[in-house]
Amino acid sequence: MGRDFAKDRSKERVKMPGRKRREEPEEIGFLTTLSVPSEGSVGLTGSWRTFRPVLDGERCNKCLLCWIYCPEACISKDLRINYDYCKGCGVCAEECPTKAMSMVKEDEEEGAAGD
Amino acid sequence: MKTIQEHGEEKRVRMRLVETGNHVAAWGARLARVEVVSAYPITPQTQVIEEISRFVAEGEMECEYIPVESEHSAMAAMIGAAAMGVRAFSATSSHGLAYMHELLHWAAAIRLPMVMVNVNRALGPGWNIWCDHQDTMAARDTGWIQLYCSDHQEILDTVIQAYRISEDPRVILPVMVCYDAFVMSHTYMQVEIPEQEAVDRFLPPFRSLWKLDLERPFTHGSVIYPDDYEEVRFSMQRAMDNARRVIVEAAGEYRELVGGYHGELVEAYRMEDAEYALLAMGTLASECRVAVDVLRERGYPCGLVRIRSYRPFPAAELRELLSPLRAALVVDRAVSFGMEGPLFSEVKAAVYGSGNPSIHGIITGLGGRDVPYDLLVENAEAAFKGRLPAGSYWPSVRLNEHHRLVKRSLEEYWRKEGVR
Amino acid sequence: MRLRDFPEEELFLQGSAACQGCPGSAALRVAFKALGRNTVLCVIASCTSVLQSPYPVSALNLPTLNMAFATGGATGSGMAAAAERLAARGKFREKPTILVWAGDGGTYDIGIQALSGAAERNADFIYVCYNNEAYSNTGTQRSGATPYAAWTTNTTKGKEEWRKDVAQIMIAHGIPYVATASLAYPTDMFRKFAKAKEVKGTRYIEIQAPCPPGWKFPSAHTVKVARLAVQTGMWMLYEHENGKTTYTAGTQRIIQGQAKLLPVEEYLKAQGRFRHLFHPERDEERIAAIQKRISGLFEALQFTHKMKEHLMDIEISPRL
Repeated sequence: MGRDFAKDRSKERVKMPGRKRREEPEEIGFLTTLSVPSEGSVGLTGSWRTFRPVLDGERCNKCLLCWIYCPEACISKDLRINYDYCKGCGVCAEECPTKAMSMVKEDEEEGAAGD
Repeated sequence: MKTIQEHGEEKRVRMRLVETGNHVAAWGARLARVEVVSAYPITPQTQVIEEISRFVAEGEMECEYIPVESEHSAMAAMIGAAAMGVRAFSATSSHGLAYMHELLHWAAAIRLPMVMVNVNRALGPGWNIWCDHQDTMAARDTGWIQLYCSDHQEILDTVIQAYRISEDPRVILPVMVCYDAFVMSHTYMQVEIPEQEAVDRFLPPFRSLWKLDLERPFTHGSVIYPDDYEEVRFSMQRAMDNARRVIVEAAGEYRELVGGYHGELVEAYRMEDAEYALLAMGTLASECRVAVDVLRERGYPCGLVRIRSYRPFPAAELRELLSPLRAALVVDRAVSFGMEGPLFSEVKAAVYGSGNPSIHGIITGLGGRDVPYDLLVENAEAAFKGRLPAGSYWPSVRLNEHHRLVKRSLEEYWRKEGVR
Repeated sequence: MRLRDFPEEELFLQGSAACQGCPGSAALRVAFKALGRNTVLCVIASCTSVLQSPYPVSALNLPTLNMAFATGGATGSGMAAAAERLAARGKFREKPTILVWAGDGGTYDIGIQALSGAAERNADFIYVCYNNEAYSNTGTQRSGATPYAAWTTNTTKGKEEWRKDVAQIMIAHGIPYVATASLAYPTDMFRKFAKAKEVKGTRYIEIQAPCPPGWKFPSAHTVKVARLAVQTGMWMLYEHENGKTTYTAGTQRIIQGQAKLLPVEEYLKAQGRFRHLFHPERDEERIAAIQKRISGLFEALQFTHKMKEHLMDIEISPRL
């Protein structure tokens, strides 16, 4: 049995179907409670955020602690933050040993750090 | 290879054994090439798993046998094994079935094929290891197909057929093969063990519509909201509807490829010209068969309808068989407390609105009480003359010396304690 | 293993239903990285049933079976037995790892029978208890893992009993590998999973999982609270194999005298579930009772460590 380890399914996205009622009922056939792996499985969880983590590249020593501690896998190994899904929990900023990560209020300026 | 004639067809028989119903069930699992068996011992099922563990230990079955620590775990392990994509089997009875009840629902809704044998036994308290159908009746609404056997050969043939039914893509529901405690589980009867090649022709290698696949990961059974849930249940109901056809097909193909036939959803006996009928399941149906012959002698054109498939319920077959009749008597070996015999209710519901047979019901044989044919004849005559009380009648209930002793002692206790 | 050597691939997909600062998803990430793609997952009723997101999509990118509460050990047994058969039939290039993932309710309480049975049969799978010390999924009720004096919704004045210790119970089963882990020590956790992967038989790993809403601390403090638990001795890191317990990471440093055992107050004060021990007034008695148990144990462990260095081989059970 060949196995495709190389294929990265983490990038696969599944389109949520619309919930419009049809005129003609479709044949239900075989159905069970199978779910399909997908990023954003409850939508853009970035909307949960009040504070956003901002990384100061100058101060960062690339220790990767923020990458591994992030409970949501929103920080990539090359330290890019995915604001689509980052819930703003603040673990990364709290654990950053060089204080390179800071939490900035969503509607405030990020200063020089940018994103 | 010996061949014998039965039902007019050639049957491919590997050997004849004189065996207990339980050992015959184990042979069924072996011939079906089951790969994982998980079970917990309970009287009167124990011989099934003892025999399977022996088959495995002696290298006669390529199978993992998991001696789990409870029936709840037996069913969980079966679900885990089936989800990985192998053929799984278990056996239980009574309290064991009740203990795994939660997972009966799970096994059905997960939509994976699997087969379990249940030896019908009464429930406690009052430890009673003898036969009645209360255990499986209480598991009626779990989504399992339930097939009831009435002789040893039927156990063997039904276990094999059950996998075929369960794995049919139109069905994909678990199947419970039921037979009566002691009367079948522990008695010896001659059984013809078919050739493995014949069974293999009838039952292809395990198939299912999904599994835990490393190539294509799915998550099964996470949270599901009201907007999505109902269709999943509807799909199970449709699968049950499909099973009606699949059970008939399986019985026919089994007769052709392996040999042996025990009826389809129902087995009818002397119903061609019948004006009256008895209805029952399991070994009570065998007793009813004798009663039918006696009733015929007494001038009642009576037949027997033995219900093999309780779920799916053979509503159409019963309508066809019963609507031309004058009267019928349903013999229940279980009770739906606060109502009546469950089979009685369902037969009436099935026939409602077609024809006008007068349908009566009795409950008897609970906890293994003997049901002699003359009791059946007597109550059938009363029923056919319209003299049975409404609802399920309990013809064999009486207060005996044991009950009186307890009542005397209790009354003394109540007096002493001032209990009214 | 250094952090930079951890695999980049994420088998936990972002945008899940997990709470902010969830220790469950954080633990899943490390476990998945250590075990890799050739893993079949069984999730027992717990917060993980929910955080993976509802039908029809899932944050778990491994073949996953959600199962009923009491079934972890049994489902794992069935999956392992099936994998054994499939391997015998040559269906795998490499036999997959079976991973059962349960919470403390599903492990300490309702699931302990099935787990014990599986361990006694030495069924071939890794069982993980991510221990958030309460029934967090149903709104934080007490479990057998809830520590003494902790508030839950049904121990409103603090739990009166001490928690039981399932890792020690698993050691008593004689299974080949038992380990405890902490979110604050990811390399230690990763190493334990990687090691467990190579062992055949029942392997048990318990991860302490500080739960922000359940334990009442800010979501940013998940890792900090986990670290304090180890530094104050409220959570111990060790692994047990071949009849020997080896203390690891933060716990090892305390026992070997390289780090100081912090006062337990620092851990208790970091969480709202122990607030009643300090407000409206200090509950000297209960704080001292907790400290006494920890100090007593660590003194014994430190003593044994010194004795071992010099004299002989003694084992002390690290039961709290």
